[in-house]
Formats: sequence, structure tokens, C-alpha cells
Amino acid sequence: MTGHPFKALIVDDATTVRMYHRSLVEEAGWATVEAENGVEAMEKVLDQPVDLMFVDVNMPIMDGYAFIKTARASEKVGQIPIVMISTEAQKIDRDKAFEAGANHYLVKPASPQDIANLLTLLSPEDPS
Amino acid sequence: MNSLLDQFVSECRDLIETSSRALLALETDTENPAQINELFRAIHTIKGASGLFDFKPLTSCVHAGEDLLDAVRAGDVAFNSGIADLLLEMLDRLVEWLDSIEDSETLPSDAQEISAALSTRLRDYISDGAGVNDADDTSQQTEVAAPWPDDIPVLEGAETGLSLITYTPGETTFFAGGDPLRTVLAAPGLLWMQVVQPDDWPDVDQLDPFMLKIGFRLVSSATVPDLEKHFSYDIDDVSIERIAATDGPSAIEQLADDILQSQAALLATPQTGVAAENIQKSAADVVARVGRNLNVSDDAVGDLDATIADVRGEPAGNDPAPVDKPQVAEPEKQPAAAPAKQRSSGYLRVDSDRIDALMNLAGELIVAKNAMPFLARKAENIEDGRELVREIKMQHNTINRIAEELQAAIMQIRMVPVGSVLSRFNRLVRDMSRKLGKDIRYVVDGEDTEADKAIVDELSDPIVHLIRNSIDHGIEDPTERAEADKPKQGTIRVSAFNKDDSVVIEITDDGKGIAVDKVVKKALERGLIDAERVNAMSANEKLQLIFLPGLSTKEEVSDLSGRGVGMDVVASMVRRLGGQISIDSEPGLGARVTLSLPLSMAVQQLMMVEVGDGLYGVPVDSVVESQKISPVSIRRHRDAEMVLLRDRLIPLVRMRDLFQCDAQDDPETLSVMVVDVNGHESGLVVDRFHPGVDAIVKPMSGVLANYDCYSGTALLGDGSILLALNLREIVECQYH
Repeated sequence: MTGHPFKALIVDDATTVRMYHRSLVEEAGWATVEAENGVEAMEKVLDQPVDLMFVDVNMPIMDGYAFIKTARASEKVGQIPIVMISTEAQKIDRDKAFEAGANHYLVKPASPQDIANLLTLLSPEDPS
Repeated sequence: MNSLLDQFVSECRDLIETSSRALLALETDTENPAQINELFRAIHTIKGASGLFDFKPLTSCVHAGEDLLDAVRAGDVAFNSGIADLLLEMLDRLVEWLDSIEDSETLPSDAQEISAALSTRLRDYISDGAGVNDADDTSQQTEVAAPWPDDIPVLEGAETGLSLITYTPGETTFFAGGDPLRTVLAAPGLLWMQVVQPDDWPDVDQLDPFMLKIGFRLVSSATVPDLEKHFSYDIDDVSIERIAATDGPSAIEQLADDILQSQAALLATPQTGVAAENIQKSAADVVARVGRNLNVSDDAVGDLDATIADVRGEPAGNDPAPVDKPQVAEPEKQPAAAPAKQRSSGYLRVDSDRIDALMNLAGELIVAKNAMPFLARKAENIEDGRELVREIKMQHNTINRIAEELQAAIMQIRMVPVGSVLSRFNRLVRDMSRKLGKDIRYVVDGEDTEADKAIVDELSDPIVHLIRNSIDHGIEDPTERAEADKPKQGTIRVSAFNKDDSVVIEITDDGKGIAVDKVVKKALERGLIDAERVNAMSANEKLQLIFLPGLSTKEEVSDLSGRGVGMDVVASMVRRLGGQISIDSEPGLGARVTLSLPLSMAVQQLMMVEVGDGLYGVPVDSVVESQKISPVSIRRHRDAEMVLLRDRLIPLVRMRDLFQCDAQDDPETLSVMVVDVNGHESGLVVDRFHPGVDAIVKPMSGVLANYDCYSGTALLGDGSILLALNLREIVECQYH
């Protein structure tokens, strides 16, 4: 890893969950940006491009589905891979995530090992 | 306690608060979708966050609550007060559990039992409400299936992945010659088995032993096709879920596989326009990342590309993205030297102790700054010291400005809306009015009004008592109200607003008001005041007697408001905060108690006065004017002394008498400081006036705390101590 770590955006309205994910992501050597809802997430990601986004489903103001759709419609940030994280484990929920445009779906709470593996697999090419 | 758990507890407490508020709002407006959503989201968030820890009873009970709310949200179950009560009970339980988590990081030992009982009752509402469309049995099954992997012990074979089977044979299985237990025991790769009892066991006298009521849960190391083959006769009653191995080298491959399948699923969804293009690029990027990070050859990635193209119905090898970049989209270029700009959030949660520490330092700075005028005065005595004096004064001004700005900035941090305290009483009003058979609406105005956190924290107690009093003694029974031609529902309104440098809180009820004559009668009976004084009082002044210690107008003690919390207790709480309290009442129409509190307990401006050999501080806010009067202008009425100042007759308080110093020997003029206490002016006769000073007044502790005449002490710049006067007590001392 170089001096410029990869960066992940973590979008979740629950502070505890955000803190949990942040600690796991940072443990893997990534930098993090956090947002509490879709609108804030959009602002953050337009301000500073990230390499990966973790998005919760149920949030006030703008939920995860709406956020993903908005992000995908953006020229600037539409291509960033998105992983949706939700408490619901049913197929219909997965399908809804893919319809919105998510690249992957994890069931909450994701184990530390899952997150670590996911980050290993989804690391972008090192710019150095 | 670790910080994540700490965060969890504090977030849950906030969410419980939000939930209770929404629940109570729902009781008056049962179909308000915004409130239902808010409630659902709060409960959902608690459930989600609790899943990070090993508090299964908590999680499962909240999960049941969430499911119930989901049904309410979907319109399957109608919200009613029974549901509200049950959910409130659940929230109470959560608060208890959170306390336990905070103390010991574990749930109480009876949590499992309580959670199970609560969950059953919560789920009963779902099945009751959804009784009509209960045919949707499969959803029920998956509902049960979701949480159950948690109960499974650690099993061998987990490294290669496991299959979870839920087997719910039909009731008439025995009549069809089926033998479910035998089928289960003969399942391939069986590792673990559990019998699942239905939630709705019929009563024993209605139980038909020939009907099969139970189901099974199995864990097997066999693959899904093998299991499907084994259960082929009962396949409709079986659901099989494959879970990936938990760790080991295969986990990451399994995940890679999942991610790649996800890309296929993503690309299979109908998409249009920019989004479609972006999605294809992102999927290609994900595939490239996974390929590269798994160290698979380009061929393998090519195969995956082909798979994806296949799913999309395109010929393999074609560019999946119809744009000018022919190959897999490059990952977004990192800005070469992105500055380490990492503000994670606009808000900072800070321990209030740290802010208090900062506040104390700022306070000390302000006190230290007070030393500079002393220095300047000293410098005046030095030969050629004028230049030095000028410089010291300039420095004093600069430091003064900075200290004030610093203090203002810290105060701003400490300002919190009073709404958080006020809205909390919704529940109190609801529970208490129910118990008393009264119908009462609780309204809060001006929740956004801000005050210092220390003040807001202390507000709760006096307001609770005042609201209790209103519910218990103020608002009448519905029948009584009807007879008085008033709306059946009573209203308690709490309004908060800023006025000058204080925050005012009014607690108004439209109850029967306060009978002044009863108050007066009690006060006379108890010997708290003499008849002559009462006769000279206005109706409003008589009403204020209710704050006298030991006076309670309610004949019998109620188990709700009790005798301990008379108005005098409330009044002393408010005064301890440096506030004032007053009451208005219109018999038959209601009563209004007004609390006026300082915005902050921090720095006060004090006027200094000298009495005997001591220096005392008087809050500048209370000072009306300072006057020199001639002793001959004093008028006497019995024991009381008064002076006429600009058409106002002002009673005098001889501070020397009060502090038991010898009287001054016949001064030519008297120094009188006119102060305003609760709208009444009094003149304090002191020896001399001194300039004002900024000081942090700290309440006295220990033995000294019993001296009601002082509100606290402050340190002066020269190191001496100033006693701040509690004007109210001093003026009252004079009367008694």
C-alpha cells in the first residue's frame, strides 16, 4: 500500500453501525468518509471521489435505493462500485438492490472477515 | 466499556426517546404515516445496531417489534392503544437492558425469558391483525428462517459450507403415510436437528394428536441438490439455504464467486441512459478488481466477461459497455497527491466534562483578567508610571475582548434546545392522566429555545413537579369539566422562549385554577404569615404565598404527586439555578406558573457593595439604580423603613442589621442600592458602592450551603473572595 490509501464511503444513519464499519474498513488500511443519508452521501462523494461505497437501505431524507439511483445517473461518480448493506436477508431485497444499481449485497451485520475479504477483492489498482 | 458499545448505548437511548415521542404522537393521530415511518426507522436502527453485539434477547425482541411495525406500516395491522402500550413496555425494557449493558456489558439473566414473552405478545398482534391473509404462509416461514442460524452450535464441516433446512410438513402428513422424523434422521450429511414448535399451540382439550403441528430445522453438510433429492417427496414443505463457510481459504473464493454473481444479477436488471452505462462500467470495474486481487489469469477474467455478456444476451467477447473504451473500464484515477482532507462528519460528539473543563479555564482567565485593573492602580503610584498604566489598560481591553469572545464561543457549544427535556413529559402526562381517569393533551411550544446544558439538565425536576401538580390538582375529571362547560379534554401547555438574558418557561393548564382564599387560609393556619400583612397584599401577591415552605393546599396526599413535592420545593429548585418563579391563576380557567432562568450559569456581572468590613456581590441584572439618600427622607411605618424615590415607595433593608454589624455612626448620607426581586423593588442600605466585576459564581458547599443569604462565592483578581448575595432571601428575611 502506498501513502495514499484507498477510500470508502460509508452511508448509514445509525452511528453505531457506521462506527463499526468504519473501524473494519480502516483496519484494512482504507480511509473512510461517512454520511448519514443519501443526500449527505451525494455531497460527500461529489466533493471527494472514493473507490467504493457501502450503503445502508433504510435512511431518512434519502434512502439507499434513491441514493444509488442518483449516483448512477451522475457522470462524475456513477461508475464507483457500490455495496449495499441491509438487515434483510431475503432474495427480494437483494433483487431490489440490483435493480437500483448496486454491485453487491451484504446482510447486516457483516462479519469482520467478510468485510476484510470484500475489501481485498475490491481494491482498485494501486496508482503507484 | 469499549467505545463501540458506548456509542451503541447512547444511540439507542436517543432512538428510544424518538420512538416514545412517535408512539405518543400516534396515539392521537393513529394513521400518521410520517410518525409510523419514524418509529419504524428508529426501531429498525436499534435492531440493526444491536446485531453487532451478542445481545440476542434484545435483538430478537426488537426484531419482533420491527415486524409488528412493518405490518402496521403496510396496513395489515391497525395501530391501537394496546400496541402502543406493548411497544412502550418494550422500550421500557430496553432502557433497563441498556442500563445493565452500561453497568456490566451484559443483559440481565432474565432477559431471554422476558424477550421471548414480549416477542410472542408482539407477534400475536401480527397474526391477529393479518389473520385474513394468513394464507401467505411462505413469508411466515422465511421470517422464522432468517434469525435461526444464530442458535446453531459450532459444527464440524463448517469449513466447506453448510446447508440449512427448514422442514414444515403439512398437518395431514400422517394421513398421507408420511413419517417426517424418519425422513429427517435419514437426511444426508445430517449434523444437527431441532424440533420447532408452532407459536399457536391449541389448548389441550382441542389438541388433535393426529394433526402434525411441529416442524424441523436441520443443518447438513450435504449439498443442496443432494438434499433436494432426499426431500423430493416433501419438497414443497422444505426450504434450503446454503451458507458459505465462515473462514479459511475458501471464504474469499466463495465471496469472489458471490460478487461475480452479483455483477451478473446487476447487469440482468433493466437499466437505461447514463445509469445503464455507468452500471456496466462499474460492473466491469468490479470484475477486473476481483480478477486482479484473486490473482486469476486474464483468461479467467475473460471467461467471466463472457459469462456476463451471456447474461446480458450479447455475444461473448463484445464490449459490454457501448462506449469508446474497448477494454474493462479503468478504475477511477486517484488524484496524485490528494490532500489528507478527512472530515468524517460535520458534528463532533464531545464528552461534556471536557467542555466543562474548558469553561472553567475560560472562567479562570476572566478572573485573572480582573487583576489587571489592580495592577494599573499599583502602577499609578510608580514614578513616571503613566505610560505603563496606559499600556496595562490597553492590554486589559484586548484580553478582556478575547476572554469574552472565548467565553461566548464556549457558551455557544453548551447551548442545547430545551425541547429535549420538555417533550420527555409526554409519557408522564399520558400515564398519569390515564391512571386518574382524566383526558389531558400535552402541548410543547418553543422546543428550539436554547439554554445552557447545565440549566437544561436541571430543568427536568421542577417541571416534572409542576406538570404533576397540574394533572393532579389542576385539570378536572371529564365530568367535572363538562359541568363547567369546558372541553372534555384538558390541556397542559409548556412554552419556552427567550426574554432578555434569560429563558422563560411557562407551564399553563386550563384546569380549575387556584383558590386564593384557600392558600391564604392555609398560610394563616400554619402561622406562616400574619393577618395584617395578608390584608395589605394584592390578590396576586397572596397567590405567591403558595411558594412558602410547608404550605400545601391539597387536603389529602395523593400517591401521584405526594406531599413531598410542594410548590416550595419547586421554588427552591428554581432559585438554586438562579431563576425566579411566579404563578398566575384565574379561578375556573386555569393556572400558569412562570419560570425565568438565566441562559447560563457561568459568568455573572456583579456590582460590589461594602457592608461592615466585607465586600458582597449583587447581580447587575437585579440592580435598578444606586442612590445616595439623606437619613431624614426615610419614612417609618411600624418596624419598616421606606424611602420615596420618584413616586415609588421603596422598603429599605439595612444590610448592617442583617449581617449583625454595628450601625454606622450617623452618616450624612446613606448609600441605597435599589434591586428588583420578582418585580418588587427593595432598597439595600450599604456602606459604599464599588465598581462591577465579572465573576464565576460557584454555589457554596458543605456547611456553608445552608446560608441561604448567599447564592455563592466568586474569586476576585486580587485573590480575595466575594460573597454573592441571594437577594430573594435577603428581602424575605426582612419580612420574617
